[in-house]
Amino acid sequence: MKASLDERYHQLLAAHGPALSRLSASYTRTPSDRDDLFQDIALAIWRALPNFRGESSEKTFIFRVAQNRAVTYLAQRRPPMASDEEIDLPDPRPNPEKGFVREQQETRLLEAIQRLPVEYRQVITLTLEDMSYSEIAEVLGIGESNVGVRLNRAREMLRLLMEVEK
Amino acid sequence: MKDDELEVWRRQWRGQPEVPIDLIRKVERQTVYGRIGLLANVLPLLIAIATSVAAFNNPNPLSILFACGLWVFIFMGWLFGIRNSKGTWAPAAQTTAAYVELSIARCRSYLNSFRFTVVMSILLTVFVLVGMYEMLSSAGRLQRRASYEAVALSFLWTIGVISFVLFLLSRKRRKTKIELAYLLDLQHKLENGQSN
Repeated sequence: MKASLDERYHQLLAAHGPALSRLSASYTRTPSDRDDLFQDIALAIWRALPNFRGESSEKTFIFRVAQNRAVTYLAQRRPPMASDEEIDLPDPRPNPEKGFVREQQETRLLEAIQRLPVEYRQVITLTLEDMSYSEIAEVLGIGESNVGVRLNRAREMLRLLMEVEK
Repeated sequence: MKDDELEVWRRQWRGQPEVPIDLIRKVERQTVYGRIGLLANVLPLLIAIATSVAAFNNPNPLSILFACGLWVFIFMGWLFGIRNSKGTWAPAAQTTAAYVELSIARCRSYLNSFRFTVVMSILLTVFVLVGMYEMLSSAGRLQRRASYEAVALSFLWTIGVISFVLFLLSRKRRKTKIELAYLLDLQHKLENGQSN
């Protein structure tokens, strides 16, 4: 039983590791923080796996645990980033040190997502992981219509943030 | 147009670096340590059993009282642990909102257990040190100055270690209070979001 649980855990980690890493990146600012959060999430999944009864899909289960860990991570971090409380528009002037990195579109998107309030960040990251409205609603415990509302707001904010960062 | 935008973002989102393999290995090692950590819960029980066996082998009112006292403390600890951890094992529903609620319950549980630990540590330390002193004294092992000083030193060392542990716990308590405030605020925001 334990062996099969371990096997399943490793399979889940192999299948969803990249997505969990991306999710971790959206809640952190440095690669080492991202790795720390990824480890926290992986451990939380290991602890929660024996209680998984198959009432939802494995993907939904994994992301639910991951979102919970990420939210707890934000709570434990001191002091909270300003962007956790409100949108803090970045300085549009070019930064010579970060200029090279910011030219990369992936980095720009990630930085914009990191600046979103947590309730919008959750919805947009799950959407970018190809999850449907109903799956996102199940993960976050909100209605599907609410998912739509939050996603629209998240996209508007994201567009604005990416424009400013250009 | 908007779906195209989402597709572009999806591609960019997935362009992020993959998880390093050594990180996955590290996580796997930690799961093993997690299992070992569960053994720590058994330690107080082993101490109480050892004390009871010693009292059984060398029965006298003092050693029996000492063993019984330890069991009382352990039962009080268990009782508190069971009551305090009520509702902190699993979320009420399989949703993020329920997980936030669970995290709040765990923070509150930690703050309760901190208060209990401080009171119990003081009572238990006094009980154990007085008990040890009485047993050593009645066995005539404190008549020489050197052994008296050695016992006094070990008692002071014990008090020092316990004080240090309580100091560390109090630092965690401060962190937990901040975490609780954040989670309550987040819960408020999430609830407001739901009503939108």
